[in-house]
Amino acid sequence: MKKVSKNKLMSIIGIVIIVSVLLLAGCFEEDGEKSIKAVKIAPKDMKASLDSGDIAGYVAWEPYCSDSVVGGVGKTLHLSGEIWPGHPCCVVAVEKNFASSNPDLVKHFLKAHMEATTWMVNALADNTSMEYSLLVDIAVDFTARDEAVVKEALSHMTYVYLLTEDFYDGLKEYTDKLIEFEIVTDDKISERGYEDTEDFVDKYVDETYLQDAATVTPTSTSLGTVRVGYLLGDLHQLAYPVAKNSDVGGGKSLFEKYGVTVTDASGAPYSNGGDEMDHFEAGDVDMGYLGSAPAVLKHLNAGINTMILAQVNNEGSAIIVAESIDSLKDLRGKKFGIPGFSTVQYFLLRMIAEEENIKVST
Amino acid sequence: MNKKASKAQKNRTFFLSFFKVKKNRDRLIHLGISILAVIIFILAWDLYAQLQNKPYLPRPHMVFDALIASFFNRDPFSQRYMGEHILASMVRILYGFIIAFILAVPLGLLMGWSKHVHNAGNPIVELIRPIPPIAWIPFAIVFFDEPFDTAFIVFLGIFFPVLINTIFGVKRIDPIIIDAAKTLGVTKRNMLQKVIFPAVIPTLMTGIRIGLGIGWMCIVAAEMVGVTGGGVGFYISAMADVGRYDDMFAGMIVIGILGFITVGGASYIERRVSRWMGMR
Repeated sequence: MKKVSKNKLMSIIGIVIIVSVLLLAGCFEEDGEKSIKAVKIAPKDMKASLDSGDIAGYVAWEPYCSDSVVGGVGKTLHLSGEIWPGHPCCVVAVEKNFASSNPDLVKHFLKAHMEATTWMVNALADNTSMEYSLLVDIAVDFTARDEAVVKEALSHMTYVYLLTEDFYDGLKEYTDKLIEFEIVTDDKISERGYEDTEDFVDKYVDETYLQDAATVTPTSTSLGTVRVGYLLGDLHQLAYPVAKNSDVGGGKSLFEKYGVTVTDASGAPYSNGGDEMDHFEAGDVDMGYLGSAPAVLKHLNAGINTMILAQVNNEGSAIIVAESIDSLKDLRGKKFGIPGFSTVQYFLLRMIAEEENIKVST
Repeated sequence: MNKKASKAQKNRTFFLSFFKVKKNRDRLIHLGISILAVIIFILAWDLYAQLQNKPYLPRPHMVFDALIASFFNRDPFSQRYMGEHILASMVRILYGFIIAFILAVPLGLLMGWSKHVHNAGNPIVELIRPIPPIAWIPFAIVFFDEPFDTAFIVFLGIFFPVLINTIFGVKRIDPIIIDAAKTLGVTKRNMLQKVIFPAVIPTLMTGIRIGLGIGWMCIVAAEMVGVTGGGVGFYISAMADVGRYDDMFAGMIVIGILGFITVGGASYIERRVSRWMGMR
């Protein structure tokens, strides 16, 4: 028998390994046909990705949902309120040490936030009012979207600052789901010093600052500077530019009215709440507007020393799909954009997919 | 005379065994230094992590635990084991490498051999080469389907080092060798196949080694954005997203080990091919 040379043998082994790897890779693709393939895409790029056909749909916050609908690129499959009525969304969070060192400053900041939110709710109640027109102008500037998109998006928004019972329940439900999905382990709850999810929510959300803020009165004294974190063009966080706007406050901003100087935190605006939490940890952010989901997740998993002080909005997200998609089932085997794995939007997708018995993979 | 020859033989054996022992001893010393350096690195990491006491920098034993767990537990996002993530990344690297190799080697040989081809290709190469491969990610996502979108990023990382080293390899061939081959009547095809290509192999392998290193960097960056089908880069990105930094570091270590094995493998192949072609 002819002896096979060592070099030939090595070459044959090499080729067999390469072919096996390629074949094995093919086997794993099969599973993808049954599941929705979630891919992380920055919300600002989602409309273009949907338009190019790279993704069949996406879940995002406003105005990135209405942007595609008004632009004729996609349609709304589900508003987030249909998936989880009144679900918690954006909140005002604070770095704990900053709050304990500057309690008055924090309360005055919250008072401006409360007043801005109330002003927005009133403005939205009458879309023929001057306040509504001003609100739309501020929103157009903040989101860099045109008026039609902003008006459509605003019609899906519910702005609220109170920490309601529903908010507590929603946050607890979310935390329980995080554990069920194995994104957070039970160990992390106890590692952070909480007995269970209920104890965590009770301690992580501190309503005393908001209660005290209700009694805060305008002041001409400057109480200090707050470095504020917020997300890029997120219409949920419209209370921030509203409280900064001098026209809203009748000549000076609501922050100025309550003696607070605000400055954008280093790196802000951020692309998602997870990034903002990293900047909290880096010491760049004192107070911030962000999703309750990343605030909870990164506090539990990474121990970032923050707490929630007020709500900013609830609902206001949606699942947007290409015209050819009529149900969630049609999304199986297709790419679907999510803003990140720490967001409530990803969580909403998991919830509705679970309801319809569809797997979400990547 | 026989006695003399036997003595010379004895001396030769003695010297050979002496050098063999010395060589083995040197190898052991080198290995010992490397192991010691790794141990010192891990201890320094552990000490610094303890001083910092932040989840952003987990201690080595936590990362080790997360690494082991990742092979036995599915991740909560893609429902894949680490082995599957490794496979997904390796397939992308493999596609990128194969395409880069098939295109870069012949092009490099031609550009090194022919002034006209060099003059035509060089401006385009020099224009595209400085662009970081990750800058092409949005383009790749829209224009290619899985796995070729990420493989394209890897391709860019590997293509240029292989191309440049192939061109360099051709240019550094001693003209006397070329002249001698011409004098002996070697055909153009044989010149390329039997004279130039073997001479280029050492620099080509250097290009492959460098390219594979860059390829691993590219795959991680590419998998962090808009990828389906998992991958170690995806794993790192998703875990960072939700603040599971011990798992994130575990993924980073996997990339390091895979890169080390791949580049080590390229070095091994380089030695074997060089020996096979009579270069060593």
